[in-house]
Amino acid sequence: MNRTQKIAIISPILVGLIGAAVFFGFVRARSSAVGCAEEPAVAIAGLDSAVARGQGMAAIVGNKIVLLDAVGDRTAYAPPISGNGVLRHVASAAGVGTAYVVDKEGPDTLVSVGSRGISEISGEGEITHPTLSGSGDLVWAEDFQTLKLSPQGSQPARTIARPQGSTAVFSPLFTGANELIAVVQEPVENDTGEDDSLNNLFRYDIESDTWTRLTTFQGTSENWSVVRTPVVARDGLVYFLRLRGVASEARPPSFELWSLRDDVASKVRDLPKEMYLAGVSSAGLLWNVHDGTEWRLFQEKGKGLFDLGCGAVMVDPRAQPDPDIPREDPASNRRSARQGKDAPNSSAGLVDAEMAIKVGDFSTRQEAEAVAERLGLPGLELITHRVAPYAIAPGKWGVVQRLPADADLTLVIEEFHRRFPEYSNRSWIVSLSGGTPSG
Amino acid sequence: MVSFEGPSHPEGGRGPGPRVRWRARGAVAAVASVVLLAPVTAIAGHMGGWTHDHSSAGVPYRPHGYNDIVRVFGQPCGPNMQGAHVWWPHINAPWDGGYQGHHPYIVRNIVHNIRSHISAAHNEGAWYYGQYGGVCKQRTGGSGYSLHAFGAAVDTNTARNPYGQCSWNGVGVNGVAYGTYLPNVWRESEAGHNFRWGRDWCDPHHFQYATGW
Repeated sequence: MNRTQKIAIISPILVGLIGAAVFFGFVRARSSAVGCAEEPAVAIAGLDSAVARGQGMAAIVGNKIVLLDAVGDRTAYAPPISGNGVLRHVASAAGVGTAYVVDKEGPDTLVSVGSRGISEISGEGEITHPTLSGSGDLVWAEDFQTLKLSPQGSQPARTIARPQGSTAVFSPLFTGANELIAVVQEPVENDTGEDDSLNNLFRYDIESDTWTRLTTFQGTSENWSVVRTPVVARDGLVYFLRLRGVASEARPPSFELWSLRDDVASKVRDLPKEMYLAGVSSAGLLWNVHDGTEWRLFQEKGKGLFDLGCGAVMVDPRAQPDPDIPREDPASNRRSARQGKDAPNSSAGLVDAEMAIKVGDFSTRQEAEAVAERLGLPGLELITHRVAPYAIAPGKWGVVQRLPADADLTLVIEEFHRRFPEYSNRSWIVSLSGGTPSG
Repeated sequence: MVSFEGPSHPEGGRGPGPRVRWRARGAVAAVASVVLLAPVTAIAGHMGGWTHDHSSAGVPYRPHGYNDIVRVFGQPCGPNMQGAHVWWPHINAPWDGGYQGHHPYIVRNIVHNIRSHISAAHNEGAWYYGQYGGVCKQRTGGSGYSLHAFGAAVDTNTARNPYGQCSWNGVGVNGVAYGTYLPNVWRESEAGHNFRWGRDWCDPHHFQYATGW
């Protein structure tokens, strides 16, 4: 392929448009199918394919690109370039083409397929969230640190720095001839930075190279608020998800559908479960929902969700391992030898790890004794930090029941929580090792 | 009912007493910091009474990929995200101790092979704040949960090893430079405890019991 052919083609993301059905209740999936049937590829997604014309909504199923037409009929194509990577995040634009990421160990590749050629762009890191404009521009996020803009597929791409004071940027979206919006991560106190705590939407003016805040969501490391999968309808209405959670609580976050019109964000409705926007069609919103094994696409229509089959648009693959975190640590080539040397100290089954269920913590011995009475279990003991320094804080008391050496700790604590729900927030698996024996 | 009691562990408190005692042990720690350059197994040699637990319960199967992670740990942000917990001396600040929650599946490994290992080697000065375990969070920019939301990841010494730093700062709470002693105990390359080190993706404080996610 010559250089001319490698010029990228692009265009506006999803198919159709229309707008925005605003519903107030969610519904059922038409299909309860789990798993994906094998879909043979009809062809390689070459220059004369529907993929190059952006003819339909593109989704990724395993190592194939599937195009869905307006009535949901599917056609699978083999990607022209995939290497040994995992396909992730795809965008298509009617009359322009399709762009997708090949996620590889190390820097990723962005591939765009259009009537003018196939373009392979080597990133400097993790590439995510490619988006096509109607005029053939391509934008994506790199390492969540910058955006890259390739006007008309030109190279090198222009680097767009994230807003000053922010800590990450991703999910860019063309919302006008000269503007983008993107999700921006903002710093919060006591946050380690590896996970998300606070996101807001910002607009980027391409000509003036300036960012403008669009939303003013608040969040902390504990009470977090993040934004996911913005999509734009033909009338310019932007839909996005707001997720809110409590870091220390063992319950899933809330998923909410929001819209943005004329720079005013408003909540549309609560969502019933974990689900991400995949686009907007002439019939309404398109969703990605994980069925426990694969990502599936759903068309929102009326008050129902209709299963369009397997496919992932801007969601991360779950059926295929992330190639950036292989099984083996690259520096671990001495492992086997070392483990051999450890063997005398590590005989399986000889170590009594002294695992226990603990109920606690109590400020006084009397409180602990009272709880032990209420539990009424055989073999309960009271502990302090001196005898079990890894199990209980200094100055506190706990009630413990030792467990057999071969106990399945997960099942044990689940059963304890079922049996004593009043203590489910005050009981844990602990180790009684490390202390000073005392009578 | 049997009852155990006694004063707080001398290394566990926040008051001046424990701090003085800890400083008095600086020479021991300094010696230990030299030992850090030796293989972990050599350190284990003088830990009378303590042994690794490299049984299948102590170092269980490590899942690979999201679906395998769910199979082993259950759904993210579920009740087992913090089904086990461990008390550490430096959580929010030096000598500001607290609990870190983990999935019960890996607590034997964390306590017996890592926490006890370092304690038995008299290297507790290698720890530094802040430390985090099971928390319900989404990955930055991702459509899915962090391994912390499964209770399958641990962050330690984050104050000196922030996200985005591609190297490890091994200076512990006692000011001694321990090199990569702590990571080597967590990870698979030295002691075989099988945690995957996030330094490979410039998240040096992060150790996770899974790969492929």
